[in-house]
Amino acid sequence: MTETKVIKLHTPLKEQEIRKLNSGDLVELTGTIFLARDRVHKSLTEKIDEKFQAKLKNGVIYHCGPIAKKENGKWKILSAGPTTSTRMEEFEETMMEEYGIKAVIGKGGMKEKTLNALQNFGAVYLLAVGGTAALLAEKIVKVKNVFFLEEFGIPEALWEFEVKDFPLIVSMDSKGRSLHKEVLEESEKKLKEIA
Amino acid sequence: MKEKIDLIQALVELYRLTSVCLPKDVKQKIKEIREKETSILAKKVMESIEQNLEIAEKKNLPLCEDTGIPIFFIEIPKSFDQNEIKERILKATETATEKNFLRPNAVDSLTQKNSGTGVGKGIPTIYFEQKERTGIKFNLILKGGGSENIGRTYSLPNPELKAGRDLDGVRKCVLDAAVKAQGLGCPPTIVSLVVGGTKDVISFESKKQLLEKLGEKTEGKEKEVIEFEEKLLQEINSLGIGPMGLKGKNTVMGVKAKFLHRHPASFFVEVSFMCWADRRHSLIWKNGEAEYD
Repeated sequence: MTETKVIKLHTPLKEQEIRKLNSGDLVELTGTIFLARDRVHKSLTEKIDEKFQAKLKNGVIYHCGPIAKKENGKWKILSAGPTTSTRMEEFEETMMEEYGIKAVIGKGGMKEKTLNALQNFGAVYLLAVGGTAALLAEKIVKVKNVFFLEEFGIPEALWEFEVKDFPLIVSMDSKGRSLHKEVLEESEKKLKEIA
Repeated sequence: MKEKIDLIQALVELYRLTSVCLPKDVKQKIKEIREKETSILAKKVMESIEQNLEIAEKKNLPLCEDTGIPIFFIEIPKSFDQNEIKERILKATETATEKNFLRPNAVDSLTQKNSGTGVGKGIPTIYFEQKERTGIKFNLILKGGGSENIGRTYSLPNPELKAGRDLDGVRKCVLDAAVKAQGLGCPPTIVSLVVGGTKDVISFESKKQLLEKLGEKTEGKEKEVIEFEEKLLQEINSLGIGPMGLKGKNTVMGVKAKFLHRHPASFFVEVSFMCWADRRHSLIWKNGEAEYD
């Protein structure tokens, strides 16, 4: 196993702590996270919802559609890895501005609009390793709530989880550095050389 | 492993196996890649992937929450009724979804309503091929949405890519698709490339080609195609995109290529990707006995 320094984060997140994070840092997050993907983002940004403004303040969004099972009236999460974040590019700035989101978890990274918003609102993008859904589900200690379940179905509902030591990589920071942008530029340069 | 079993039960077991365990050749390749990567982040990604595979198997859980679209390629002898087989597959899909080996992934594209059962119009995808054989062979792939979304179809010539109607033009398409994909389809991926004259056929063939094991020598494959695959593997990896797009030496685990005939006017190139969670297994069902691979 690789031994590297891991930074511990707890919710509610503090902006000054988030602003210290650098792309490439390894992070473990403990506290509450909210699962939101395509339809929740569309819904919450079309009409600003006061109830969720209070809930999501200084909070964390996770781009994920889990596999969930109800046992004796209680939800259990079996598998919960990240989905592709770029589909939420249009909405994330509003989520930071209107709902006070301080960290976005997903895979694949996001684009310029979100990178700017991370700087403006003191937030960070955290990469979870795509496909590692059984490993990540082990870090979910409790399902606290689920909203929009009837309307959107299990994979697209807004789930509220309590997690412990959720393993993540900072891949876009609040200082304007994006590992995704760097890798894209380097690979495009290399492509020009060989194509 | 052989046991007397009802076909629906056997198909549910095929779903379980495919959702929970990767095939041996893919596990081996993941291990090799983990050993080869040197940067902290790429190593961390590969270690997480290996840990995840262990946890999923130990706890009998889907290794990835996106259990994708099930695609069946079925080799069927003359004596069987295809419609009956199809009905059993649909039933098994519902049961596997109830048992949480599949996530309910069928959303009506007109109403946006999730069917909740895992079954929908066109889902699962089922292809039959009549074969001279005893027993039915069910080849199953669970193909994730992320890797499906980064697949591309090109029509040559393509002036933008300076890609003409030759092998070098095809190569430019594949490299373009890999750069555009970046970390989105969960690399290290498998690339399946098919060139031909109709879009439906190359799309089908590029999925079917994903059944081939990594490193498997396909009978009758031309020497120049094998060399082309090896060259593309090296060139895509030289782009440095790496595991999950965080930079590294391995962006693809394998490249598979196939060249079909085309209409003189048409030259289509299909580039499909499969995520590192390359979930494929098979079931041979013969005289009420099931054998899985």
